[in-house]
Amino acid sequence: MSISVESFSPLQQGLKAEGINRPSTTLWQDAWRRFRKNPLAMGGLTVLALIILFALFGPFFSQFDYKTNNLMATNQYPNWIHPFGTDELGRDILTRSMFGARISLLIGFGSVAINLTIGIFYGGISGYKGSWLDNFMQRIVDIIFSIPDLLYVILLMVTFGPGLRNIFIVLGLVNWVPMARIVRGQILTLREQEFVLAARTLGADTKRILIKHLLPNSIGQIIIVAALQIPAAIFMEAFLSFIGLGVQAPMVSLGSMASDGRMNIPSYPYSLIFPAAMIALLMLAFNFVGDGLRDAFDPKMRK
Amino acid sequence: MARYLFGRIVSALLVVWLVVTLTFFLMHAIPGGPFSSEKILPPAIMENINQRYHLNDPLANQYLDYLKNIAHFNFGPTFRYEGRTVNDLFREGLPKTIALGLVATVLALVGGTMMGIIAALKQNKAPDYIATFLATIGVSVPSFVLATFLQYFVGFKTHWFPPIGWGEAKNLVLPALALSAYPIAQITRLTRSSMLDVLNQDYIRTAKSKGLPGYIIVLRHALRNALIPVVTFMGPFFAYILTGNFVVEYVFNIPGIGQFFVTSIGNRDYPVIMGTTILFATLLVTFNLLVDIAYTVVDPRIKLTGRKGA
Amino acid sequence: MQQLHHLLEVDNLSTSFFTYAGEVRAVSGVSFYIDEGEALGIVGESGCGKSVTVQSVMRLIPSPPGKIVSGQIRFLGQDLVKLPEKQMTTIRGKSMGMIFQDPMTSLNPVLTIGRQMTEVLQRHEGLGKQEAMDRAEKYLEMVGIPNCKRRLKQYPHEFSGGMRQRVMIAMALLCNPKLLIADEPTTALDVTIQAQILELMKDLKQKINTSIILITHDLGVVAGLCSRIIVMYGGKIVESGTVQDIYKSPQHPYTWGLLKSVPRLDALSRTKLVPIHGTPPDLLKPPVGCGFTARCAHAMKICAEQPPGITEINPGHQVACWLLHPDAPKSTFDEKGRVG
Repeated sequence: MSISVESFSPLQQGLKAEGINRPSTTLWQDAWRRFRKNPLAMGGLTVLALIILFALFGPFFSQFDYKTNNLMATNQYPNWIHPFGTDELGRDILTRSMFGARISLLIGFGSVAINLTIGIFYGGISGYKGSWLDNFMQRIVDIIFSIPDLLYVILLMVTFGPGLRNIFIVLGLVNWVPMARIVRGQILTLREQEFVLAARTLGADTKRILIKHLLPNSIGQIIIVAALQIPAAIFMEAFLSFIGLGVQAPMVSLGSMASDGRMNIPSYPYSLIFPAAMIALLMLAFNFVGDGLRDAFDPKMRK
Repeated sequence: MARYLFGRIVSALLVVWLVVTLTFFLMHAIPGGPFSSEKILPPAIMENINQRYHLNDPLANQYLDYLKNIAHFNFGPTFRYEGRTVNDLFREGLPKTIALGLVATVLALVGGTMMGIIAALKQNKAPDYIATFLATIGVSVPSFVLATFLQYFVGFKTHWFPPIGWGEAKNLVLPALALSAYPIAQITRLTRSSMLDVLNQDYIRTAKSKGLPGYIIVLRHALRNALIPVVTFMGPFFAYILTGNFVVEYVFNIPGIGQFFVTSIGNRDYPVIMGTTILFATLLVTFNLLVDIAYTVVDPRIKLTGRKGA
Repeated sequence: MQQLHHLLEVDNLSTSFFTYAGEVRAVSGVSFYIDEGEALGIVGESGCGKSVTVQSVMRLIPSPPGKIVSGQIRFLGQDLVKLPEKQMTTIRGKSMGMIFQDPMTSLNPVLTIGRQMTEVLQRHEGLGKQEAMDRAEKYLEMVGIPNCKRRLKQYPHEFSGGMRQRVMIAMALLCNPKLLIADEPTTALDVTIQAQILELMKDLKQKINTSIILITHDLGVVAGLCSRIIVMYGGKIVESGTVQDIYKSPQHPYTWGLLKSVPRLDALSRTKLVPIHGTPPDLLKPPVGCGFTARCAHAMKICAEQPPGITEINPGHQVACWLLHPDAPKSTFDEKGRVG
């Protein structure tokens, strides 16, 4: 092996050693990269997008509406005119599914928006203020938490009466508790961490710490919980429909369709199968997206 | 320990009292009272009914009476089951609800942990995918849909198991399956992820470095640690088994508490609704206390102060 | 048949981790040996591959993603790389014991110390419960744990960190293994406890004739215990030799850096501690030439272009550095840290 003497001249180098060879990624890029690599999560996201499009725009392409009875065409099996068939009152199940999905999604997103707001405020205040206030607020949460939300929801729905508006109010009133817990837990653990201390020593004030440091760091957890609470709300509405406290006819949700279809199953199973399949698809999609988000934001949980 | 238990019992009683109070006032806040949704009754009869159920007394008196009765485990008369008290319904329904709940509990605990362990040990292989798939289905289908499908497609179509009714052991099969599907799914997911987590712990590496064979590492070193989160799930689990009964008993026409409850919601039979809520809340609070005690058995680090040791 | 003289001989070992980003070459082409009754130190900063090396020897690399890509590990006449897992379990814990860095997490929290110790004996020596307990008690006493009988019934969380590391040591020694691997046994402990644990290991080494591989990032720790030292950098061995060689006439600039970053009581009071600037190479994209080039004050053009060959300074003292090439300018180690 011959090496030229010139090779042994000193190497001119700057602070190359400090350079990082791989590209740096932000939390969001990193999360998105992991999310994108997860086929189940991406599949869930796609299905979800399709169902949302189906619910929002589907009715414009349908010649039927969801509430007009057609006694000439009851209990039809799936055919070219009615791809999902018709129910016992001759209503097109496909069109009803679109409207039902609208309402179910509305309940899912709407009620989570409500409990997100309550939960972030409650949990944020409780976690950040700490001391006796935190103690007191957590006692309340503990008490509410020790009884299953289903019982509260039923009691409140019995009191307020069935209907879409009351479902919103009741689900919002009940479901903020887990959100508040998560937010508080996040804030508590983060509050103790060095970067918050560092920010404080650098003179950042409370508001800035909350907005610049704590919120971005806990947002991942919050999104995960929200993504899993949406399907839970849709589920809850289906249950309420089953016990007769759901949305009232002629309004239709996937849950109320399934619940009505249940009675009809011996003569015509499709009136249950289609809405049930839609619910299951929504659940699967949301759960996959939720799990994908969890893996994406918190790779430690994955393994 | 005694001090801790005392504190827990006091707070449990507090929760039950709050539930009683909340239920009472919510039910009395309903405009029109319990009989209003029916066809309009003649005022004389209405008056008669109100008299009989003390609905004309001041609210505070009614509340105190109710508290007094609850303390004596007297939940009052029903509105719609002629001549029967809520206690009668409980006496009739509770054994069935408990029997069904027990079967479903065993099914869920055994099935869920087994599936979770197998899935974790065969991570990213066929058994894992099958278990994960079943678990995903279990959390994606509403229980009333699942119960109806089981009843119709298994019960009516195959006649393997009776689709409806109560009395024999085989009557329990389909309802117990329907009731345990969701908790099986949850426990499978939970066991799987906590097993995977535990298998990556340092002490598992230590166990390997000691030359222990794989099955001992799994059974002796991993499993007990992996089951700790499953014990955490026991509170929500019992809650689910209890409330899941609403649907399952109704669909399979089992005369248990759940069926009475759902029927009473339809009938606006307030004493039954209140009584069931209070009964279930009490049962759950008791369960949760037992679960906390069970912790200390599984995890020696936890002493009954509610705190983890170093 | 020179191999037979060595207890353990690692030959050209390469271990990689296959991650989403690609192959991370944690260890590449590492060769070393250890003789019976000898203590060997492996030194290097975090991520240099020293733990992966010994975990490969124990076949404890988590797989996937880890895998021994090539090389041989000869131990007691067998190549451990090719050994089926089942046979490997009869070697681990019996002929080879290991203690880990963090005693807080290395013991199973839900089993008593006694249970965790006796299971080793029941497995490898077929001892009955009582015999095993007696042996465990004897070993706990040996590592200096008072009240052994009572302690055996306790759980790990009832022990302090130092005590837990003593338990780990006793547990690793239960079957009188030929080789004890200690992976940074003192890193997670307080300084005073560190000294006690080192003292204990020195003591035990004299009492029972076990070979020890001590892994550490602290050159100060090895001197008292080991006779030979291997310095690793970026998944490769950069210098190896006796303690004398490494301390008195180090040849590799990285070793110089390590020595200068160790505080010494015997040095002149004016001597400054000199940090090694920069960070270790990214083993996902290993540099073409010498891994230390980017941080080396003596780097030459050739260093960035070709990996250095091994130069034997004197028997047993080997260095992988271009500076030892006859054409290279003379650079020597200088206590003040200046280029000579």
